[in-house]
Amino acid sequence: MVNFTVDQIRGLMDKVANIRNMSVIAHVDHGKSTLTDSLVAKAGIISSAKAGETRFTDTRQDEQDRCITIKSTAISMYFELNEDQMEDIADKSNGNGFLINLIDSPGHVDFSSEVTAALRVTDGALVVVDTVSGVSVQTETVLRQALTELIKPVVMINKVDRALLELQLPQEDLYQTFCRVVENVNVSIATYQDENAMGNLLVSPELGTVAFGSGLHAWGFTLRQFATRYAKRMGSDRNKMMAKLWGDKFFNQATKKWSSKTTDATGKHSDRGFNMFVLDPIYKIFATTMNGRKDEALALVDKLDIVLTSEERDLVDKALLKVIMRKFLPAAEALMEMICIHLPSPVKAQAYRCGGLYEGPQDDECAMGIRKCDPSAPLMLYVSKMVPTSDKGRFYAFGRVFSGTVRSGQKVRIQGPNYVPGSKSDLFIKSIQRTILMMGRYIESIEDCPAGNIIGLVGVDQYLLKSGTLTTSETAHNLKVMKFSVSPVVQIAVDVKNQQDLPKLIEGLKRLSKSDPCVLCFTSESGEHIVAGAGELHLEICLKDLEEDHAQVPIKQSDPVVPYRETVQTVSSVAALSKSPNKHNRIHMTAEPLQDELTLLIEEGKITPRDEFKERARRLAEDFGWDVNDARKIWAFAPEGSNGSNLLVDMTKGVQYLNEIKDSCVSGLQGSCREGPCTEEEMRGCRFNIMDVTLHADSIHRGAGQIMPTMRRAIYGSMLLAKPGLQEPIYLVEIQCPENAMGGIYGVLTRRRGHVFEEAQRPGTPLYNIKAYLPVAESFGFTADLRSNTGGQAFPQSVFDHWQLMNGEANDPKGKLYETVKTVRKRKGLPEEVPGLDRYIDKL
Amino acid sequence: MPIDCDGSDVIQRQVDISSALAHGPALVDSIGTLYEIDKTVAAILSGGYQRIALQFPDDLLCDSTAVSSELQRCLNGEGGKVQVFILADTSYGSCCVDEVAAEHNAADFIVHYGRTCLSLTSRLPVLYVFGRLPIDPVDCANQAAEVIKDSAEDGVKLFVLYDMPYAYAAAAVCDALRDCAVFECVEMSHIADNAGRLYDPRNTAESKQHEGQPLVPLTDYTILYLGGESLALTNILLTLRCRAVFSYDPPTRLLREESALVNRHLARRYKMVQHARDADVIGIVVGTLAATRYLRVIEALKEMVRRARKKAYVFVVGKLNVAKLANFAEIDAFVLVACPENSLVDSREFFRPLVTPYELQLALSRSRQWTGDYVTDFRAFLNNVEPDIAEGDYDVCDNEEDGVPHFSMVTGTLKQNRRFNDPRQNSTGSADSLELTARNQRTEIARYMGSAGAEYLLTRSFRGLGHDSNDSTIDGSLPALAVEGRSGIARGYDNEK
Repeated sequence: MVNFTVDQIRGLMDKVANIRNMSVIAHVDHGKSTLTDSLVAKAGIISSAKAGETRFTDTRQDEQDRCITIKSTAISMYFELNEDQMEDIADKSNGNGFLINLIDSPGHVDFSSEVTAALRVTDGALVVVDTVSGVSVQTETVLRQALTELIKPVVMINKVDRALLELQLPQEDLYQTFCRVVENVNVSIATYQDENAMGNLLVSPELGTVAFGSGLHAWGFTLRQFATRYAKRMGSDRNKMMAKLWGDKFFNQATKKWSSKTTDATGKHSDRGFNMFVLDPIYKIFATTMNGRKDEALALVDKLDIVLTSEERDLVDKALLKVIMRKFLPAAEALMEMICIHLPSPVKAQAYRCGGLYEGPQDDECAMGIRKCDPSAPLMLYVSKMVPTSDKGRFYAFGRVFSGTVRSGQKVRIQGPNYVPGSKSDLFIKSIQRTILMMGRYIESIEDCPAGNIIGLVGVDQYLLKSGTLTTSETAHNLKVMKFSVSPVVQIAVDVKNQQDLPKLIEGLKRLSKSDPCVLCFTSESGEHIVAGAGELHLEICLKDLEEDHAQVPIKQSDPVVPYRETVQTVSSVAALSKSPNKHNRIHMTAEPLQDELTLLIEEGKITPRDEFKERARRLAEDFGWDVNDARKIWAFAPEGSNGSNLLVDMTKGVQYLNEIKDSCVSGLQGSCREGPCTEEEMRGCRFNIMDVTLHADSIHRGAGQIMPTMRRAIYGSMLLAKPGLQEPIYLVEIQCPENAMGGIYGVLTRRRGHVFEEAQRPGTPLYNIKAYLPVAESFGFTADLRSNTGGQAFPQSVFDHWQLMNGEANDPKGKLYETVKTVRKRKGLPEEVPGLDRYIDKL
Repeated sequence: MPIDCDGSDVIQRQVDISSALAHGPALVDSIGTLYEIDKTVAAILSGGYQRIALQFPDDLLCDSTAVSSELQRCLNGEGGKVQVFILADTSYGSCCVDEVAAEHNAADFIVHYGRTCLSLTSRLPVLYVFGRLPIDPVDCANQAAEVIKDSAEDGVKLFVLYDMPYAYAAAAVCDALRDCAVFECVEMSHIADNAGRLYDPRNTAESKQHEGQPLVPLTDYTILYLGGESLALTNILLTLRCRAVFSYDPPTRLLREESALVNRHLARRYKMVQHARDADVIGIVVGTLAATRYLRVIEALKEMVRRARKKAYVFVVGKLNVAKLANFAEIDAFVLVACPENSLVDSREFFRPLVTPYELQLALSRSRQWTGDYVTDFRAFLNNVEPDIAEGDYDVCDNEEDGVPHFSMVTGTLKQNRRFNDPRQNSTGSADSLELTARNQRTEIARYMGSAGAEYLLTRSFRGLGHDSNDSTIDGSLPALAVEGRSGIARGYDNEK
């Protein structure tokens, strides 16, 4: 156990080649936090007394209570490699001491924004997979996220003890299970890896990039450790040995020869190298200790050179097993070794990550600094999340120095996510009060921090909401804004029980908004305070935090509701005509739906108002069949600032003064698109064509006051003429369950308007993987419902997938959809009936 | 006015004359009592006024000629040379005394009929005539006793408020309520007693009496309001903190509790405050020229906005509508200075939020917080604001370089406000104005000296004068040539004939 002074840690931070920033990612309940614990126990900068507590990185009380990680937590560890381990490190390094910054992340899909934030500041990922349940939904999701962020993965196959104790798998079966896990992980990697940037990332045990073990029992190994052991004993080369311990390499006991066949020429049976040399000793230890054959076990212990104390020798059964295994194959040793050898240092990683991280030109001083991880270049630091401090309302900004050096008292430019280079918007120039090391539950002040390290900052939290870029270069562009895999599609309205507490609630909402990368807090038009989250669990945690920590006042909450989107389903039957209040101006307008693909492209930011308009027009014409002339005259995208997918197109011919009213038209559109005519929900995927305009000859009679209200009426009118529809958010639900639970799942899904679109058996297991679409509106209580209908055997992971058009027309009083419309209108305090067309359109 | 109103309803509007005072033209013999002719005549004669303006709301105009001739007859019958004329089409709301219109005709006395907000005038003496509507005090009391008793377990203290036409019957209702003997105590407002008397702003002693004492704290009380749904009731609901509010509508004889609506309304107002907090440029809309202290309120607002480093513009637009305010797109939020009853405009239809002075105060103040209390009264507002201004409650700290952004509940993100009239900029500003600026290609003035309007103009795609014409034949570097425009009026220009 090594304990370090702050100065020593600071010294380590300068040796960038010896730093490993990594996150632990996995499906929920695959044992990330428990595994992290064994690392903490082994290698510490944290004092020994504190280490080893159960799930050290689960710092919050509710995390401990619920046995689920909610927030990601960082810890720093120190690890020294011995000489032959050093030989395997491909890149140049500086001494044999390594500083490992590890971030333990949550596995539940509702918190996957935390994973995104963790991945951004790290270069490598330890993917934990449960031996028994194998590669699960979230494993694939986080792996995909990691690979798109250019994060290199290594794999830990966890909970091997369960396979041995609970399932009693024979050796060959266990080997096959391992094989399948590795195979499945590699399938995901092969799909998403960027081979040009990072080379081949496929993992494999014989390369040492896969570890096996048990986080709970704190043991684990890579083939490298066994290879070293046997190489020494047999006097052969370690790397050759490693290759023989995996795959179809069989050892013939009689001839002492390796071959690639299970039987030799004489028909004698050969054992698989992995089974014989790796699994056999482990099985023996398990068999002897668990079956009361303690003497044999202890004999084995001596044979394997495991030193036990006399008290430890007195233990029996599982306790003894744990001690023996931990001493035989310490998990931390195996993992640390794997991390140091196979995960990239910041220097190596930033060289290829720069392109994906930096928005600006790849040859400016900042890009160069990032690529070289140069501590003397201009500062480039990305704040990925805010961590609450003990001081209520203040936060540590948690981030990664990509270039330059950040120090206490340094004056930096704080660039928010909406910063535009060269402008003053979303930009602050402030001093950093303090830089701190964040280690789980403890923090330490340090003077400065060079590129390549993860750091906490004091004094910038007021200027950033959730994330942002800090720099010292005036020409620096932003580091790319993180893209989350989840969206806040479930809303709850909160209110205080006592009106006097309202300011506290508002302050609480602000703090909540800061403390979670994904949650949204705002006031709706009807004056309700809305908290929007990714799912029910996410919201539950957020509201609990809000009530207990952030606002600290009693809060009442509404039932969860989902947002809708208003759209149109066809082209307006006739052009809507609206006259201005003074009757002197007329706008003729039609509405029509955009293609779904086009809507998505706009929302993903692939087609934007900032594109070069001719280029954009060509694309629209070629891919979506637009008329090139129309496509060149897109006046606006609305709502602005949020990749709004409603377009205003000028299709008029030769209208005088048209350019004068363009601004008024666009303002009218922007206001209208936030509130559609049927439910006052945001519009989505609508194209509005201005067909013709008649304007008064005198400019005073066609001012904004005349045009804006007319524009709004024309838009609403044209929508009502174009079969207005509602879109609702849909979850992609993935469920893993045994076959006998399937009936229950189908039942629950059908009752909730869901439908299964994929069902596949997991190879080699009795488990099925079900993928289904489920309306978010029907998802409240889904998890509990599913559990009770399947005897607790099914556990769903729901993530927002797409907007789905609901059947029917939103303004048809006889239709079924009208009930939904009325419910929404009632909730918002509007008259229940949708306003008639005559309110919006005029006669010629 | 709803947004989808194109304005034609102004012409086609059917004034609902069946409701209020008159059921059709009032019978001549009832006019004397209904319009309190005797009291009016007495007041005019005692003051020796010569030119009398009668102000009627739209729904009472049908009786105006009858009232006017009756007054003429009574006044001049005694040999006086008193002239009586009728004011119609008020500039703002019919609840406010329209002094300006009266002064156009050099009136020296105004009689105001119908519903009123009781805002005090600043120049002319005024007499309020409320009129009288039928009410059944016993029915009201019985219903109240029954409903209110059920709603609370212990003794209920009742406070009676009333719409003006029922003022005369308030005492009778109170007596009837006391007779029911279920309430701990029954009290009533005496506003109408004072207000019903002649008011002359030039007599200061009297005006003090008119304003009356501020209402005692009513937190323990249950309020019973006599009258139907109206702005006055909304106002009471918003401003008075009390146990509960019940309203009794005499024509329908319905008694009901009025609380569910108020929270919703308050919540919406709160959203307005949030909008105002985000605003950088604020338009002060003058919605009254009658209520006393409106000038002081405007001054206080301007000072408040200035100290908060925002920009204020003052607008006088007459009666508000969406189109008028939509003309000023550079304004982020409007604050409406109007009498209490007209202040609370439901601004859903407006393109920009429309707040009251009190709401703007909450938005700009650093120490004041939204508590659910609400102030629409100018006097209470000024009592709060003026000391706050003196204490620097709205001042933005100048030592902070560019301020800490605030969390906007409108968007759920951080919002950094622009700073106007920064003293540090002003100190160097005078020097700047003498500096020469290089002319750029488009001959734009490079700096606009912090003018919000000019800054907004820069963000527009059309700025006039041919600068930004897409037409390549026009050279962008040169201003367009002046040409002779149209002449005539909009209905038909000379060249259109």
